[in-house]
Amino acid sequence: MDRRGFIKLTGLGGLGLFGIMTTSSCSKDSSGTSPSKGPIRIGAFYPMSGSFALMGEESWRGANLAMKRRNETGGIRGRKVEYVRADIPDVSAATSEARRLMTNGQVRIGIGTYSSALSLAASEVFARSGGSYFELNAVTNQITNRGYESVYKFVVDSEQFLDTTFDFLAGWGAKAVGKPLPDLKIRVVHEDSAAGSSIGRFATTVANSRGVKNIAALPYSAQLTDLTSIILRLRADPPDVVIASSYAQDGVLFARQVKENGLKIPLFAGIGGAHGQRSFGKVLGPVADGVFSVANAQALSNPKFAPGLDDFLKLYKAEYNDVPFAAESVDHYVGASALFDIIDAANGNDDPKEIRKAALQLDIPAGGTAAGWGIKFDERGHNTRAFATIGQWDNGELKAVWPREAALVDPKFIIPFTG
Amino acid sequence: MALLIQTVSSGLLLGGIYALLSIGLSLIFGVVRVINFAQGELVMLGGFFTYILWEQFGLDPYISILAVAPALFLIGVVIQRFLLQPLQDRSANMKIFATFALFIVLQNLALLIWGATPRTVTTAYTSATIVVGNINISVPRLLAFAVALLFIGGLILVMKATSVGRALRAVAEDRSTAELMGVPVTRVFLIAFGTGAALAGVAGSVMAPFTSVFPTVGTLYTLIAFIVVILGGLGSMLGALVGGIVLGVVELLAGTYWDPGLQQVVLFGIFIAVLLIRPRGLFGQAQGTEEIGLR
Repeated sequence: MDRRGFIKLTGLGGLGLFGIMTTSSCSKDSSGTSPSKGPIRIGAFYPMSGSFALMGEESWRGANLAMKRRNETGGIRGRKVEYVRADIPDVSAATSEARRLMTNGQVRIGIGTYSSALSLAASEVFARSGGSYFELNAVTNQITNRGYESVYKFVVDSEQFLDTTFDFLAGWGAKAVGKPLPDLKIRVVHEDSAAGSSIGRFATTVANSRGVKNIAALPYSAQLTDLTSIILRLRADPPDVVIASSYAQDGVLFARQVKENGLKIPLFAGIGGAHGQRSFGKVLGPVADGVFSVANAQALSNPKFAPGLDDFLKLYKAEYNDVPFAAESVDHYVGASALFDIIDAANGNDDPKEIRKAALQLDIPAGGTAAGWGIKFDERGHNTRAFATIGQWDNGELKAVWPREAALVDPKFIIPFTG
Repeated sequence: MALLIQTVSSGLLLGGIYALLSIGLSLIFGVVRVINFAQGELVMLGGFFTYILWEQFGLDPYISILAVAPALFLIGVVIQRFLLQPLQDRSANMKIFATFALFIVLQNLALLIWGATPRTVTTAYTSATIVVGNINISVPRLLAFAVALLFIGGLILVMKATSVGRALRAVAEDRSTAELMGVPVTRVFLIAFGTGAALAGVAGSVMAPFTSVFPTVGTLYTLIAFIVVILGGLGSMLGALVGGIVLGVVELLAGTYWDPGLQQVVLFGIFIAVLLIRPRGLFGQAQGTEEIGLR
């Protein structure tokens, strides 16, 4: 063999070796985590700073307790669960942090997030980069309507909050107010962000489908420090029911200004969680009595309908020396626990195809989790057994009152903001 | 008719709060000739200090003014001495950037120290109302209006009848001549900025009984203060009062009779209209004061 031939052969051999090495590395990646004794690592994306920090922290607590509980009981197939945490105060951080954790190969499964906007950003990265993302309590239906096979959502869509609200009105509220459901005068007071606006939009659709025609939306900017004009419009044309979607500070402001202006609202239902935060009841005291809060879960529910809830409350107290600030921690505890079961069913494999197979096979009936709802994902990754529950403030406590199976107490007719 | 009277009376009370938010800015604008983008953040600091004094010591917000105002005065003096004074002879843009950077720093420091959770003071009179016929008047908002009148009246008196006030007016009118006449301009700037900051702190205190305070609340306060100052006229205390009241009444009339979602559109529409039609504002001091040193 001459020198040229030898160099050619060496070169071809080198290329071949490189090819073999690259292929085996790729196939190792595509088959997911190889059987290993190491921990199962999951990316945990929560806003721990910025304007969502309060609820981001509460949501994280639920996921954290689920991890601790699982590890105490042997982990997943003997392997410990470990979170790789990322602080995502805004959309650009959600995107960059998701990319960072996925690019370095640190994780292939992500959870989070509390906020719909943040969830859309982080889950997009996972879906496009060969990972799986489990959204534990953001509500926009866009999360599972984008056609990605590896993105899943545990809780209801925004419209379903309204379905539950109108079920409640049909089953109890209309009678309490003293009118048939179609005759109710309903006003939807909402802040004008994407979340509030979607509530305003869907409320009219759902109302009309139930025969309620007298419904109108009153949007406002959440930045306003005075809601007098909304209150005065309501006072000029008093409604039977107000459905509200607010942030924490304008929820309190609205309540106070309703009281100041002597407005009597027979039935008030807050959607989305601000009215379910402990601070709402603490700051307003008896003024909050009578307010209904429509949310994914209630921290005080019938234990027979929400098995494991008492256990969760004890875990929460032991870890944080407190009671839950909001029920978001329950959502994340339930969702994370279910995810661990999914990974277990996939034999600890984090490959998106294996995870999907296991996720679609998960079948928990209603009344089978600490949140009360069941879990059964459809082809989109949406949990078809999710539903909202309604709590009512009374004497400083928010207790589940609807659906009846989840209720700890019966709903009471108390005109809110008059205490 | 009852609705109209209620709207106007609520608008008057809201306008008083707007006036209180803006008199400090007007003073700083008028004397130091600086656009203070951090004015709302100073109100936010006043609100947080008030909340802390209430939570830790049970101090009523109106009593806490005695501590909050001096604290904010000192903060204002420090800002003027160490941030703006070194830039005094630089371009107006540099001073704008400096106060903008200050706004970012204060907001993020507040987020770091106190987190994003809204804090809400609750007093015995938080939800108290006086009912006159069909008109409901919120007691804490009425008190805030009264305090606004008191401080604005007091400031006008100081400006007219004291040597410090005369010095402030002289510097506002013509800094170079005032300096030639022996007015200690540097000290006047410190007093002006400190007083402007103290007034922001007072605003934060009197609003505490009926609004929540959180780190990002200052942005809207700054915007409102700008609109009021432009409407009322730079450097005019009476302009700040009248401008605030006009703004409060118009905003609530628009929200009640037109659309609550368009309240902010109305606010900024007024802002643009004043800039185009009468840039010196309702009670503008003199030609040229509207330029704020952006020559």
